[in-house]
Amino acid sequence: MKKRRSIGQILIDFRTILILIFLIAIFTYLKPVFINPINLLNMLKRQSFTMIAAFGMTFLLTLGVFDMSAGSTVALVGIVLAYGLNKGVSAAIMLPAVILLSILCGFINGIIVVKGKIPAFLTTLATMNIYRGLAQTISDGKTISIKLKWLTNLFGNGTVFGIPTPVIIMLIFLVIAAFLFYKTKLGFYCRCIGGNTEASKVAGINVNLIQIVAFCMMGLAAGAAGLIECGLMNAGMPDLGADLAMDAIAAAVLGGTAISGGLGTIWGTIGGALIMGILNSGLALMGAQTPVQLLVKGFVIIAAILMDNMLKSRKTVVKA
Amino acid sequence: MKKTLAFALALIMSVSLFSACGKDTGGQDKEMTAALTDFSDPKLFEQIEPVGTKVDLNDYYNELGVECDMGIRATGGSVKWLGGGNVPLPTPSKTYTIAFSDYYTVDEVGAMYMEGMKQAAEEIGVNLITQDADYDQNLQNQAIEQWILQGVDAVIMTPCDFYACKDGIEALHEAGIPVITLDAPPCAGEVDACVVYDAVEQGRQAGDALREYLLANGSDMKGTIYYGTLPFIHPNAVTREKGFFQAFEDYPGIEIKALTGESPEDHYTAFEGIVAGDDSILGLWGLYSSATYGIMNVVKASGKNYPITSVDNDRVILEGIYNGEVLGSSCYSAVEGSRLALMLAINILEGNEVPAIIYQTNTYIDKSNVEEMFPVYYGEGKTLADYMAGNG
Repeated sequence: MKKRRSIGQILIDFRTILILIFLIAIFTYLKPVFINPINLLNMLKRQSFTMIAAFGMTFLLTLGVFDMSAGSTVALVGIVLAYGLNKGVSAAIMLPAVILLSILCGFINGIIVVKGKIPAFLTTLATMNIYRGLAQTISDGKTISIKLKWLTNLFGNGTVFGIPTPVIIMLIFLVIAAFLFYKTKLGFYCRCIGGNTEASKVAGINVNLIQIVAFCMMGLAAGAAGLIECGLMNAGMPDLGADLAMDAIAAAVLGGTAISGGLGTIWGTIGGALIMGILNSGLALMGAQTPVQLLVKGFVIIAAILMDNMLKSRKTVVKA
Repeated sequence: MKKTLAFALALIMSVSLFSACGKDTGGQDKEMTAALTDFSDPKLFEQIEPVGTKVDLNDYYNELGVECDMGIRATGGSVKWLGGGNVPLPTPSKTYTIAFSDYYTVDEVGAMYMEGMKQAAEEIGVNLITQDADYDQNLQNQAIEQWILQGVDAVIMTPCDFYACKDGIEALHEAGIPVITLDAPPCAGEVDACVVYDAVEQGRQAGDALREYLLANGSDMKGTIYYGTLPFIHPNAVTREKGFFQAFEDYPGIEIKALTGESPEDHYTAFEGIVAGDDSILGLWGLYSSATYGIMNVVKASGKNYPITSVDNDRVILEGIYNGEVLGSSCYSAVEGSRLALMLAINILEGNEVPAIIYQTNTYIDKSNVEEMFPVYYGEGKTLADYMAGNG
């Protein structure tokens, strides 16, 4: 017979959704325009690139590593795209080229971590500077505008049946990420390696290969995020994506992915990213200034992680 | 114990959420008689380009290598503000809701734009919605999207990125909401009017002052002048550089070299070795406040006595001028800029013809006028003495 869950257990299991409902309710009460579908779609549009990066980051965090260079990859992809287009190179060449470039950025991270045996934090801290430096060098520090309207509409400002194209791209990435994470060996291996690397090796999992693949996926996600940001800005900007890596990590952790590895959830990540997006949008509507928004976001992240730890320890006690 | 901790966390989240919420500034229409601005008043404005001329800043920037393709809808030509710090505000016929997006408030100029705008809005009963965009164009565009939904009457913005602000500006245009920019203008999109300062003049004022100092002190005008600037191309930087270089056009023996950085620490690092080891230095220039901070501190630490000029009126710089650490600085008032922008917004909303561009006043501040000018930049009743005593 199936065991009935207690109310407490339901609250624990659905905490991300409950927090979302609480935030939506409170902001709607305080500022009714918050629930306006256009505002919600705008919020999703502005959060879409963080969500995509957070999907990539979820795989890495589950493995027990993370990528600080994601934001710099965004800047590099955007600048190379804008630079190439302005030099007259066709979009049909530039788009695949920058997608490959983003995967290459991830691959370089992965290879250095795996073959150089350098911790991911240090590796990606270094490549964060390298990729950003490259973006600034290529652009001479300038914003490079993108004149192709169809391209900026495709990735940033267009809509399909009223839905902004970045939201559609994010949904495609969500489906792919969820499929890979829950339905393929890749996702399973990520959880195994993050949970116990040595045991995974003994079990015959190619840990190095999985790590490199996960970094490449992170690169691809950062590349897609870069294309969206370029579309939204109509330009490649060398300072784009400065906060992206931290926001992506925060979204994943807020959604329940363990920073220590072994435990990850794509659905939780989207919940975490939505919490951040709703806080951004709602607080902005309330007239809260950026320093206050940063404070609130910081408190919410700490509170969520502490609560998560408490709940996990409670679960452990119950199981014991 | 855990319950208490969980309760405390929930309390922190709730308190932080509610404390973040500003008061609702929902508009209440009250009919008044509008008293608008006379932009042809020669005591207040000097007409530069005549009424009816199509004015933009494209040639101004394109000649300096800054790609610029912007437009301005207002047809009142361009004018220079002559009235000093006290900008008289028009009286609106009703209570308008105006939104202001400031590029960054953790910066004295940005902070004073915000403070000046709040004071001005309160004076004339405007419902003001504000945003600190934290130098993030995405955040600025997000706020604009929300303001369109909220149905604000006008938007004033200091653009975060001179190109990427285009979408926000176009969205406002499509929604029929007038948009006025303040500080460096956008280089893309079409706005209703702009308040700008002549950044070439700022550079020239700083250069002229340094040149005159060197001549007065018997310099042979042979050597190097180093200046601190940004590591990327910024419309304000190229324009200030142009003016500064103009001041030394007649002195081929002087080489002017740039050192780059963003923060005061960057400039400290960039200048430290030069100040210690280069004996050819004639003088130093901070193209903007962070550069001047770094340079001032390097020179102070070195024990040397190089003449320094600057652009910007941050309080540390004004204190440095008073103390003789900085020769002087080309200054403009952020409070004045905010008031001029609000003046434009109200006149546009009331259907009055406005200038496409209002140029702010640049004033060279040195030891002789620094105390007198302090309240112009920081508000009536504020004094440099109070600031230096830790009360400002």
